[in-house]
Amino acid sequence: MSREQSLVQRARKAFQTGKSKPLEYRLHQLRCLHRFITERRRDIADALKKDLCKSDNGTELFETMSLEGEINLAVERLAEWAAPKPVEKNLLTIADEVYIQPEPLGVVLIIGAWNYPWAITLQPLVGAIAAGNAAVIKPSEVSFHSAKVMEELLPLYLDRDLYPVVTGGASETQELLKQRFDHVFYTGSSSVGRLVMEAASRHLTPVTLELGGKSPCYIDKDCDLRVACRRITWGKFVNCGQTCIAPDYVLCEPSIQSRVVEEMRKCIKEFYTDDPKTFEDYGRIVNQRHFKRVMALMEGNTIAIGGESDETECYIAPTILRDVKVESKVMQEEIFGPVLPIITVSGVDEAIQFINEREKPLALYIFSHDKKLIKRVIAETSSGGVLANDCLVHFTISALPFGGVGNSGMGRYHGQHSFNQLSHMRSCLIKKLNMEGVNSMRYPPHTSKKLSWARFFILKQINVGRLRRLAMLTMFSALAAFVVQRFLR
Amino acid sequence: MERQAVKKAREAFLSGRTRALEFRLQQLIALQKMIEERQTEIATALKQDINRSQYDTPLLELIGLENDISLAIAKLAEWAAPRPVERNLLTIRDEAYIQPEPLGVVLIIGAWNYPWALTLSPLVGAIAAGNAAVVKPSELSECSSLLLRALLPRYLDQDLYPVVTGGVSETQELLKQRFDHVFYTGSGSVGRLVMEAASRHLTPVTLELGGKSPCYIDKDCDLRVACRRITWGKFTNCGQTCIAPDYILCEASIQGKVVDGIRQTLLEFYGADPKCSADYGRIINPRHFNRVMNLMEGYTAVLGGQSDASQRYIAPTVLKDVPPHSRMMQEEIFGPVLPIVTVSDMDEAIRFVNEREKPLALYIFCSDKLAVKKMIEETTSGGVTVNDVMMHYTLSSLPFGGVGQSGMGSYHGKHTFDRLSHMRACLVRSLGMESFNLARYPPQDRQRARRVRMALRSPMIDFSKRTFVWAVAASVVAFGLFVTLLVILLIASGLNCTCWYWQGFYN
Repeated sequence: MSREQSLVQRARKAFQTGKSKPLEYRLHQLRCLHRFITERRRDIADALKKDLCKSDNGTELFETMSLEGEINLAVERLAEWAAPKPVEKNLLTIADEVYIQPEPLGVVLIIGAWNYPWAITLQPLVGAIAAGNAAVIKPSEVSFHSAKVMEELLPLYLDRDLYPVVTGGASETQELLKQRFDHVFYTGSSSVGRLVMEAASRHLTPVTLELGGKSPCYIDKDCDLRVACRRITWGKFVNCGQTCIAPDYVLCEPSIQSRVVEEMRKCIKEFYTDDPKTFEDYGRIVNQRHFKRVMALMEGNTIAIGGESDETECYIAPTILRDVKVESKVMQEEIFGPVLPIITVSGVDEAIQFINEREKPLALYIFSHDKKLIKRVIAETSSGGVLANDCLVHFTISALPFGGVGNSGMGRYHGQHSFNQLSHMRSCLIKKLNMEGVNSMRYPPHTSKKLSWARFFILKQINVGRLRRLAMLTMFSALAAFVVQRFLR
Repeated sequence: MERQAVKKAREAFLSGRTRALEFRLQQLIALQKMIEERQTEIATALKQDINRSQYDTPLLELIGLENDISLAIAKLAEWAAPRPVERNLLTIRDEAYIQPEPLGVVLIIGAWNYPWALTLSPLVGAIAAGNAAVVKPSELSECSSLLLRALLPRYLDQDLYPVVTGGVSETQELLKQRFDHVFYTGSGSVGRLVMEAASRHLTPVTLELGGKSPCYIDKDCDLRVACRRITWGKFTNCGQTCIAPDYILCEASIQGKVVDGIRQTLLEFYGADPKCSADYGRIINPRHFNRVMNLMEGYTAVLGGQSDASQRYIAPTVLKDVPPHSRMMQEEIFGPVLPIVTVSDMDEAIRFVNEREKPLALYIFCSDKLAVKKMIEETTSGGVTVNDVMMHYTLSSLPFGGVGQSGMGSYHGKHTFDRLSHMRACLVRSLGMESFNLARYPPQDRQRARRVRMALRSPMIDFSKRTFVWAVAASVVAFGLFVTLLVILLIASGLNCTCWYWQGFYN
């Protein structure tokens, strides 16, 4: 039996003991996870520095803060999320108990990504723990140091049978994918996403795929370019462009292209100084392979800003390309690097057409003062999420479901959505063995009279809520009438 | 041909005409008309396919469908409206909402046991959500499938909702095409192939599969009523229902009474010879007939057991003392054969259920509320109905679907709409208030990080619905108390005008 197989079996056995079912246990585990993040801040930050040259503050801002927020939210709301939810009844079930009961699925496989190795691997884990599942955690081997720290330290805080960490490369992942899980949660590229879904199909395992794509960013000519460019620059060059929802490319009219470039030049200088290479808050490309990939994408384009690189450090300067042609290599795949192409379009109509000709992106950004234009772009396009007049921050609202559509993914998470995605919503109907007379209309031998009764009972829309309010109002009025009569004689 | 139909559907979808709610309502109303006007033809087709009685067709298929459509028409505006969400301090002045959007082109693969309900109910949701849909009815219910192909284009938009008939090769050809969602009802083995085909295009799927739905009967419950309900659920549509109680678990001491209860009920429902009853169905085709007959081999039926291959008739059959690991217990029966497996108590029944794949439905007959809650808590299944069978299917507010081998995804009512929509997260900010954003820009420092942390918290005033309801309730109560106080003060001050008013009233 392979190592992966035995770990999964152990997790399943641990799940079947039922220990993750009580809410107190799940809360305890969540609090331990929170302790892990606060006590091991140093280890996490060091690992990220080695993996991605992320600064300490960058780590806090982009990885641990959102994670802590998710854990706090789950701890606060778990009882509410896990409670049975009563639903609207019909005439036939008016005397019965009808509700939806969230239940754990079983053993969840979480495959993390390397660009935000902590946030992206542990946020789904928060949902998995909250929903009462066991979870096998497979951090990305590309963010090698973070994976190691996770493997060594996480078992010191969480139940090591229920939440094992499995490190390794492609072959270990393939071995894991052969095992049977109750849900697979994958963050990464579309090509691997296909393989994950195919592997899951063999066991009829549902999947959540958080993939990527080219997230367009449209800048309307009548908008505050200074602020717009500031926000776009920030969103693009965070983590050296290695963010799944980074604005991948800009669409704008030719008349404002030069201004956009100038504003971005100012912002880059303000954020990262004249020499981003020496600046602490500017990251690096994760490895040589991706460095070469991004460098190759720049070929054949006019560099308006940046373009410098240093292979030894995997450093690429914040780069902006102008007048980019649609057929060029940089527009064929997700950039995932600090290179921002600008493509000129004649107006919002052409921009909408441009976006719709391509795969549905994970995020869409629109910069404009005109609310009507924003609503129009939203109505005539589709994307995982859409953010007007800023970048990335829709990620921070846990009430918004975060996920893709089409090639950018399926399923969603964050906050309660993680809990729901990793739970089974079981329909429960509790009747009694009396009132059998009502059922006679469904039993053979059938007659048309029985059928008309059945039709009445099933088709009559009953608003139980309204009935209840009506009953209370009647009672209140009767009480009021009684009081008035009694005391005003 | 399949490729053409899908291409036309996609072009029709891209034209944008399904976006308008009026269009979707119009299509739903047309579908409703089709079912109302063509009831007799549909009933005839079902009689030919599966010997469905003329009353069972509306009862089991059409009334539910009509209900689904009426609900969608009544609630569409509400379902399709943007859904505002709770914000954090950073975004407190922004518009944050979830916008339901159409996915695109949905493939609906129907089943043969309830060809109309199982094919058209997902279609209702697809239309309501603004999608185009390629409808592929099952070839096993041949008359129904041909009738659907003839009727649907006469009522609905022909390009947006084409019907594609055919067998395995046509379905495989369809599955090679790219869809935005595939909705499949049928067996687990084909479900795997559907999901694998969908994975090539990264297409999400809903799989409504099956399994062996256990039915536990507690010894201390009204056996007469329990057996009645179980008999109805099991032998309706000749046992060919995905949520039919597949097998019974009960203690040996009541097995005899259970058999008697079923025997009595069968007599009442179908008479002494069910073959002559207009309400008793037939097996869909010789292949399934042989399959069910093979399952029965080696058992002595305690009730029924007769069959007639020429009519694909199998009498309502009950088998007792069936061994847990016998062939009968290995696959979903999907026929009018009801095995009884004896267990020593409820705990053993729970273990029995948990040792097997998660079923689509679980049935518990028991008068003890605590025991019922225990069994529900210690098992899992797609859905559960206590003290009856199948009825959780009839409530559109309950999500209907499986878990594990019994399927993924759920539908009915609003759940179908949500399943076949993309819930797009929307955040609309303004280009002003840039000073609030300063904390997030580099160069970073601890103080800035702390400010960002504050901004990401929830606002002090919780705008969630719950608090709003409490606020309103509190205001109403406060107002009520204020009025009461006023009345009491008036009385206490013994104002003449009050008495005068009432005197006048009584005179």
